[in-house]
Amino acid sequence: MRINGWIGRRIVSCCAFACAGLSGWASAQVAPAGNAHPESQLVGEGVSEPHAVFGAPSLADRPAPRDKHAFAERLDLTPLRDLAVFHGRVKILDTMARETVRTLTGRDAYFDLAPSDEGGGAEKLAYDPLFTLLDIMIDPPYYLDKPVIAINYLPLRREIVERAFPGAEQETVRQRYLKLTRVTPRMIRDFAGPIFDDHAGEEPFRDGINRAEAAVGLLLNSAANLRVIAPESTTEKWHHLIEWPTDAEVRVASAELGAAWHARDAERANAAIARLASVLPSINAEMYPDSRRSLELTYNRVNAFEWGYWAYAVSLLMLVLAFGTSRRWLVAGGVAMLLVAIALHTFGFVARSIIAERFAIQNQFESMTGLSLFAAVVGFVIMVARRQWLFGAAAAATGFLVLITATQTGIPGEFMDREAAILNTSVLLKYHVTTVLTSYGLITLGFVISIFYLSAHYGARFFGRSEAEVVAVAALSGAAGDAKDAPAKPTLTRTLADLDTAQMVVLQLAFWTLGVGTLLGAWWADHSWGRWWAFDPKETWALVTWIVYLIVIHARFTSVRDKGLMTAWLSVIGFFVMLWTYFGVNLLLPGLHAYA
Amino acid sequence: MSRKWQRVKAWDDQHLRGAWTPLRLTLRLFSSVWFGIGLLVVVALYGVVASVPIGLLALGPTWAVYIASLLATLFVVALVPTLLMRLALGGVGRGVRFSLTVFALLGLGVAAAGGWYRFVWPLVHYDPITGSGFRLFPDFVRDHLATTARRLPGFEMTELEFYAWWPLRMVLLLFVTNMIVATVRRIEFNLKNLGVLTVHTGIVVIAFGSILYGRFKKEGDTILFAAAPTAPEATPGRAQTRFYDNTEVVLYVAQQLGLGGQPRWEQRLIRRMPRYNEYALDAGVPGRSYWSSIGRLDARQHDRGRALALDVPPGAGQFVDPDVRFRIVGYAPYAEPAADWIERAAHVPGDGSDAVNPMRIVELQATLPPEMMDASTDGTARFRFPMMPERPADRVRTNAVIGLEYRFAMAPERFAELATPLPAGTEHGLLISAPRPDGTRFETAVPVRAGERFELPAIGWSVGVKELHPTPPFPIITPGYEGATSSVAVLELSRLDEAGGDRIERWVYHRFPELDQDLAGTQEDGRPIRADADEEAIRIRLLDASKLQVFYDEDADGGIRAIVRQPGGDVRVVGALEGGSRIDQLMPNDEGASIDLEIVERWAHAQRFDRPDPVLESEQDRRFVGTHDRAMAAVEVWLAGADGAVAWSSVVWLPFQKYMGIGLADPAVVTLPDGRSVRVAFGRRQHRFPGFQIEMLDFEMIAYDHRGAPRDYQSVVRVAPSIISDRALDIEPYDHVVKLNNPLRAPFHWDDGRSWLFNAARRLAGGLNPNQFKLSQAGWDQQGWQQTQELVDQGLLDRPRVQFTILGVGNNAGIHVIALGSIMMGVGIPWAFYVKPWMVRRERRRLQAAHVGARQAGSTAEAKAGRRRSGSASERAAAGAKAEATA
Repeated sequence: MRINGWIGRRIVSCCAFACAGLSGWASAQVAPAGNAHPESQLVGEGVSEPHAVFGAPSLADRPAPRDKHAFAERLDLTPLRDLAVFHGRVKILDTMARETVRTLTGRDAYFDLAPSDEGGGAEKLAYDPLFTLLDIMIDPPYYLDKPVIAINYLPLRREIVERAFPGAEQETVRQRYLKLTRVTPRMIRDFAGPIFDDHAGEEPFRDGINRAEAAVGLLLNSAANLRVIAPESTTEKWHHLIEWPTDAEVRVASAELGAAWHARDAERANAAIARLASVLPSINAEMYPDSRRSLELTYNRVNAFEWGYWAYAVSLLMLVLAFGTSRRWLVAGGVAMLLVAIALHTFGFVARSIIAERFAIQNQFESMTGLSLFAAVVGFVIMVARRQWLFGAAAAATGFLVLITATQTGIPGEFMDREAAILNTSVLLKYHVTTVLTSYGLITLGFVISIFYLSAHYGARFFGRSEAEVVAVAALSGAAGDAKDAPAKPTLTRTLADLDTAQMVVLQLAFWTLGVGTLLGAWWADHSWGRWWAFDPKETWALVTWIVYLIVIHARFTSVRDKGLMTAWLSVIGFFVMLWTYFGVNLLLPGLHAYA
Repeated sequence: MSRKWQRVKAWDDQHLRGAWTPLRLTLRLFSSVWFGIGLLVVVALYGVVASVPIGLLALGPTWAVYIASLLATLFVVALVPTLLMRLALGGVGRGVRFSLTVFALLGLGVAAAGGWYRFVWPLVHYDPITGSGFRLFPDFVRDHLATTARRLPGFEMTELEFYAWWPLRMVLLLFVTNMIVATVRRIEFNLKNLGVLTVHTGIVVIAFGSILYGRFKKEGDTILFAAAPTAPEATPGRAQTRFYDNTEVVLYVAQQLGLGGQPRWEQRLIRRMPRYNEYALDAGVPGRSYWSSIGRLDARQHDRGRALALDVPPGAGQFVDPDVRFRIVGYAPYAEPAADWIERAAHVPGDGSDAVNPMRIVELQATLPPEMMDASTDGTARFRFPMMPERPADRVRTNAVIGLEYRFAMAPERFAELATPLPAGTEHGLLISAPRPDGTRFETAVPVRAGERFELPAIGWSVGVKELHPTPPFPIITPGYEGATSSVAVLELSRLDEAGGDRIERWVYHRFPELDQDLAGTQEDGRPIRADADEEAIRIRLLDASKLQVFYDEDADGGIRAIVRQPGGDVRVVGALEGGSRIDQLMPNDEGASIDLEIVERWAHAQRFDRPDPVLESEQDRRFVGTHDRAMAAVEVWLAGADGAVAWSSVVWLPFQKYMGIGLADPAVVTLPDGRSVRVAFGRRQHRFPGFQIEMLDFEMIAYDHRGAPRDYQSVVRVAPSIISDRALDIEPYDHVVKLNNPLRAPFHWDDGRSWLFNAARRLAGGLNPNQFKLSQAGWDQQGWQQTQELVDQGLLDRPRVQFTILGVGNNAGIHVIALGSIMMGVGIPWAFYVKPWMVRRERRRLQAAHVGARQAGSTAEAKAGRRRSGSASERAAAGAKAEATA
């Protein structure tokens, strides 16, 4: 009897399998619940054949990228944009589209690459996220060989690309994919398994592959998320289109949309879209959400946090220039832009709170938008009260730094998911978290002022004494124009003393609010967890942060020669300790504050 | 420096001299603000060491280098050119120069940062896969990325234990002393300083409250069971009188039986129990074991040779004979219990085996062409299989490709059956034997496939093959065969001469023909009537030729023969093994591969020994690390001789029992040489509720609308006097709904039937009472809820249910003292920061006004003189007020 070589390998591997596990052991314990964010489900369960609502796509007729893009350009998706859909919560299709595209591609919108008409290179074809969502529901095979799945972990991306394009002659292609940061679903299907086996002991690989495979699952099954038919009551689930009879108007409209989409007939598709948009709200109309949909659409369109940080940036630049140039119009412009930024910021925060049906400070993203808003408002109020534009610049800098970090660095929590039950059942949350976040905002504000102090102090060394005085005095004067006469009056010592007073005003407030916020947290912990202080990493680092400012307060009573300089440096240290408490602890140290 | 501090120092210098000098220096030290700051820094560093993994701390220098490279780039690319530009713009106006400086710094700064990220970062950034880039102590960082200092061997503490350790206590004591001394000696006791005095007093009050709190603190959780599903609504479940400590672990030992034949458990507290590291993983393994034979666990790699010997002395009540002693000799923090086999010369009653259990270790040696081999092997891959001929479940080892079976003195008839060839290409065959009408025996071998039916007119039977299974569709539960596996054919037999007559369903096991069964007819309850296969009528054997099968048959003299069945039906009988132990060329092939079998060890007796199989760190669930939840402890039960030395001992590994006593796992039984036996288990310490008990009435998971994520959990519970305690409380039973953020307070709770004052007073007293507990919603039976929800959706049940709920339990004596201190701090800080400066400013203005008034009024020399006195007095007062303000 002849046996092929693979049998030998199979025997070896299977024998190894047989040598392993002789007995099993069952765990009996269920982990405590309610203390962590509910897991987001990318793809809805309990729906079979969800793609059937749009009909099967043709596998033979694959459109060219330009044809697909031309079709997308002719579509009018406006009627669909604010239709309600249940996906973890009731949201609008526009929101689900943005979240889906962000999850898949890591970007706000998907773009395809087509060979440029002008020869050489490639042209970017950008798509509306809602179009992309509908397209992956109606025509998923189109994306099998499109670089649509973001792989953030570079070693994993490199490994996938190297396996997909081996050999020195494909180096250019590899580099292009590495730069693109995305790979195709087919590459993941072909290589994720072997890579997983090779790197089973390495957590970043495992996590990256799991995320990539989940993204492929979302790409191929996103139609399962189409729960767009309102239920009969709040205790019932939203219905998927597939659950409705095929002769129902919604099914007819969706089938028509699918057929037109496959034929790339924009006119027919627009008609089907309009029909679908008119029918869906009429089913169980009393349960269909109303005004909140338009608010959510406005929230999406305004993009308040991103425009907000630009407004803060302009304000900061104008106020900084005003300090040095003594131009009143720069002060007026800077203050006006600060007001615009705060208005945008406030709109984003309030709208999010209304849409999410909660005080929106319950995850990392929300807490960052919250704390920067509190800090900006406090800075603005102090600026008006003391008529010192320096506080306005500090507020603008705080708002700019925090918002740009929150929106541009993939901070967890940008999607409005449901929150941890432990948070939603307590009023103490509002007091504890708000107070602590206010203190973090003030610490950031104090940090910026301390940077001004250090700039003035060390600027005198680098740029000369007189100009540093002029700049700092202008910063502290009620109107920048007054600074023309200012150099003759105060000395550098006086200027630094005023800056020192300013940083102490903010840091004392931060010290108090951080202390009170931490104690409120201890009260909540005693109430909720049964222990007021558990030396959980978050608690430990809150204490360490507070100790830094305790030292700031008490070191003022020592015989240190330059107390302002010492305070400024301690403020900088305190800021970085706060950053670690805020980010590092959450991301790197497991503990009870899983949601923080 | 306050005037009080000046006075105190002057007094010290005047009175505390000579022999009192040490006291003066000590007082000076404890009055020092810098000393307090130093102690605060130590506290902060202690927190850093306790909470940050040492691997992360070791990354600090690496990141310092990264940041230094960025700063250097910014300095060279942004700052230096900007400075040069400013020098070049010497004659330009200030505003222009400033604006250009800002833009230059911004532009060049962004360019520098971008350039650094583009060119420098890829060079210095460390890649753990390839090892490229820059990282200091890379091995240390990799090995300790999740290891905080408190987890290291020698510490083995939880966060709370580490923070309650004496070094931090000492520092905190010094700090509080420093604060008290400095407050008394430096700060004037007046209204202006009320803020700082309140804050400092508040901290002392918190410290006092914490001592009280820590002294009496007990916390853990308890599990409450629901009533039977058939019970009426709101029927209480089993009463719970105890809760399980979340820190302290005990050894449960029992020798006597109590009421109802249940063991009378004694809890023996285990002190200094490890939590994070492995110790003596081969404890209890005296010599050779199967694991050591196959190299399954290299204990040294895990425990690094760490030994453990923790005596577990008896507590207050002793239910075990005093000569029986216990100690912990090994620990695995995260492991799965698994069976190993220890080589013994002979079977000894009480060693856990019912009878002698010989074992043979068969080694598969696969020598494959180099391109197929793992580079780490020596050219031959070896795998060992433990074969225990006397144990049906362990005499067979099988997987998808190969099956091995080892028997002693196999019946010749069985040997012949197994050696029967089948037509080429056959995957399954039936050997059928039945009496012919003439009395002779009909025998045939028939290749079969699932779904086939064939007739045997010679014996008058029709045979249908309903199903063929590689493993039993249902686990084998026949005593002695539990856990055994075999391929199975489900046949349908009928007589040819009984058209439409009864059909028999026969289950035929390839490995265990003695288990073959006939199913004919049904019982009253609808279950089939099972009986041993009627082999008189027709005898059927199943031959599984779907994969390589090897059957060993060892005779009483140790001679071994074997049958090698190739997939597809080909058979080779090896009458005598080469060298008495080898079967060469198991699978002839032209690929250059050689696959051989060798019996490498023969043990007279193998004793089963359950021991920990460590779980890889990458596969551990972090929630259970350090909790003992997945741990196993090696307990040595020993008898002391006359000289107190160990006269006899036995080691048993015990899996951790999170909820001891609710029947999730059986305790181990150790039989002593004199016939006595003791039960031992390893679990959490149990505390009894003081005179009350709790029962679960109902549970509900409240979801967001439209069955979204859980929004809350609520357990409806009843608190009542304990029915088993001789000190049951005299309270009226009451019900309470425990929800997240809405705990149960027991035994005292807010009684709406009593006055507010009464309730408030009892509530305050409860904050000092160690026997007052708070119970919070902590866990639930998620699986049970989901399963019953499915039944609800199918209309089979009215509402989803759970089998249990878990409540966190804790007392908090002293919490109101801590709360008082916290309030004092919260109120005192704004007084110190805002009220005091306001008072100082007001005082200063008052004095200045008085000074100005005096100047205006005075025109005479006397008045001038008075004005000078008043002026100097007011200036002094203002200066004093300012000094006070800063103090």
